[in-house]
Amino acid sequence: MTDTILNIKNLHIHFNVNNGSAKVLNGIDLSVKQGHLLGLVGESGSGKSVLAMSMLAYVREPGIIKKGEIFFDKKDILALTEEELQKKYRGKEIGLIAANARAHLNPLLPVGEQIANVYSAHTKKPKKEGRIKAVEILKSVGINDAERRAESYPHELSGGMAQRVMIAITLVNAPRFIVADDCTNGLDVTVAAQVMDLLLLILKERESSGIFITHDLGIVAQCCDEVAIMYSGQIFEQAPVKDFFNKPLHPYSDVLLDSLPERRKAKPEIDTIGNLPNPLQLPNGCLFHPRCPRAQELCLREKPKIRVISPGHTVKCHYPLEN
Amino acid sequence: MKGINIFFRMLIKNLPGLIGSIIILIAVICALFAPLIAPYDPEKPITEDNRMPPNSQHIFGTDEIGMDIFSRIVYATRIDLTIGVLATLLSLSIGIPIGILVGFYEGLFGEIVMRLTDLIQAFPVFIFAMVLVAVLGNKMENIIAAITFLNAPIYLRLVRTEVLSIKGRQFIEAARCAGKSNYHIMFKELLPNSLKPALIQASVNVGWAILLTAGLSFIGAGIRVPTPEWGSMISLGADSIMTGQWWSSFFPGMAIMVTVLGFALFGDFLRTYFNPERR
Repeated sequence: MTDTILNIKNLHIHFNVNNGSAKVLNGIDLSVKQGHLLGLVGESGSGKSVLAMSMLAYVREPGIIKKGEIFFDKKDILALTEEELQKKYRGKEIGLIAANARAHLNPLLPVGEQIANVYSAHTKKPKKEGRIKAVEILKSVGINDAERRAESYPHELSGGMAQRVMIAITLVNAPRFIVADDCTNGLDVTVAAQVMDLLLLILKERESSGIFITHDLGIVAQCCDEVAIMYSGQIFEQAPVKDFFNKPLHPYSDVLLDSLPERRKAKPEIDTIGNLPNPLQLPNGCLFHPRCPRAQELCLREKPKIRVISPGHTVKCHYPLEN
Repeated sequence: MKGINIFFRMLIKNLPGLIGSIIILIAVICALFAPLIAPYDPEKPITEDNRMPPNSQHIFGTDEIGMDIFSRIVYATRIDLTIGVLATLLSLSIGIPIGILVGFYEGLFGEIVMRLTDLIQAFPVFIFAMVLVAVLGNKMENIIAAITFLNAPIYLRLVRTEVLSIKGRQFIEAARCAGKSNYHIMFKELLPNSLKPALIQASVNVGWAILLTAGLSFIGAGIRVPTPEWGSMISLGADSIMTGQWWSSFFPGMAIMVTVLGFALFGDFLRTYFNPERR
C-alpha cells in the first residue's frame, strides 16, 4: 500500500508571453502514495491548476515544460507521444475533475451522451452500452432519476448536479488516479460536503489515489491523508495531515494556519502581507523571502533544498520552525 | 423525437419564422407539383395575344411571346430553388469541414487556405460569378458550381472563427483531459458548437443564391429563355415596363422578393432556435 503511484521530479513549466517568460512552476517535487489523497493548498496564482493539468501531461499554450519528470506507476509520462497519452493515459489512468463544472461540459450535448462518449473513447464499446453505463454511473454519483437526467443539457442542471456529472464523467473509465481541481469551488457548504463525501467514498471503494486541490484548509484537515503547500510554483512543505496541523515546519505554512479564523482570535494580526512574487521576475534565493518573517541573509542568496525532517515530512526552507 | 417537437413548438410561437417557413413550404410545393399547379405549358406561347394584362384566364397575364406568366413562375421555382438549395448545401459541405480543420490546426496549412479564401472573396461576387459562368458555359450545373465556389469561403470563415474561440473553452480542454481523440474533438465537440452561425447564414444564403441566379439570367449569363427562370422573365419584360405593361416583370420580381424574404425570416428564426438557453 505504500508504493508511490505518482512522482513528480523537479518540474518546471514556463509560459512565454509578450514581455518575457512567466515562470509558473519552478521545480515541483511531489509524490503521492498508492491509496492516499493528497491535499494541495496554495494561494491563487501559485500554479495549482497548471500543476493539475501537467499531471495529465497537458500544458495550455503558450506554456512549455522546461524540464522535469513525471512518473506515473514508474513510467515517465512526459516521454509518451500525444497519441499514446490520449489513447491510454488521459481519462483512463488519470482522471481530472475540474472546477466550474458547467464550463467543462459541452453545452449542446445531453450529459448522458457526453458520459457515453468518454466511455467509448477508451473502451471502443458500442454506443448503446455507453448509454446504459452513463445512467448507471449517474446513479452511483447520487443523481435521482438518472434516466431522465441523462437527457438533460448542462444548462438545465444545478451547480451541485453539474459537479456530480463532472465526477461521473471522470469515473466512468475507472481511473486509478484522480485529480480534483477545486471541485467544491462555488458550491454552497452543504452541497460541497456531499460532493466531498462522494469523492472520498469512491476513492475508498476503488482503492484509487488522488490529489485534491483547494483553498480550504478545513476540507484538507478532514478529508486528506497528506498535505502539500504550494507557493509560487514550488512545494514548500509536504506532510501527513496530522503532522502538518500539529507542527508546521515552513514559516509560510505557519502564517497560512494563522490566517484561519479560529487561530486569528489568538493572534489578531497576520504577519505576512503582500502578494505572490511576479512570475516574470522571481526573487533570488528563497521565493518566499520578501514576505518571510524569519528571512535571513542566507535566504536572499541561496535557494533552499528539500529537507526530510521526519518520515514523510519534507520542507523547503533554510530555517524551518522548531516546535 | 424530442428535438423535432421542440423545433415545431418554437416555430409556431415565432410569427416571422412561421411566415418564412410557410413561404418556403409553398415554394417547395410549387417546385414539386408544378405540372399540377400550372394551368399552361410554361415553355410554349399559348396565345396569339401577347402582353395580355392579368385576367381571369391568365391571372398574371401573358408575356412578350405570349406565354402564361403564372405557369412560368410556378415552373421557375424548380430551377431557382434547386440552384439555391443545392449550391448552399454544397458550399456548406465544403466550407464547414475545411473551416474546422483550419481552425483546429491553424499553422501554415491554415494560413495558405485563408489567403486563398481572401483571394476568392476579394472579387465582387456578381462579376466573379458572371466570369465563371461565361467561362464554364451557362448551364445549370455551372451556375451551381460558381455559386458554391463563391459561397464556400463564407462558411469556412464563419466556422473557423467559431472554432478558434471555442477551442480555448474549458469543455474542449476537459475533452482532451478525458483522452478523446483529435477526430472526436473536431467532429463531436467543435462541429456541433460551431455550426450555428453557418446554418443561420445558410438559410439567408439560399435567398442570395436565388438572387444571384436571377441576376445572372437577367443579364443573359444564366438560364436562357424559354426555360422558365425568374431573372430572365424580368429581363424579358423589362423593356415594356415603360410602355405600361408592368405585369411581365412585376410578378417574377415579387416571386424573387417573397422567396428571399422567406429564407431570411426562416434564418432569423434559426438564430433563436439554436440558442439552447432560449428553449
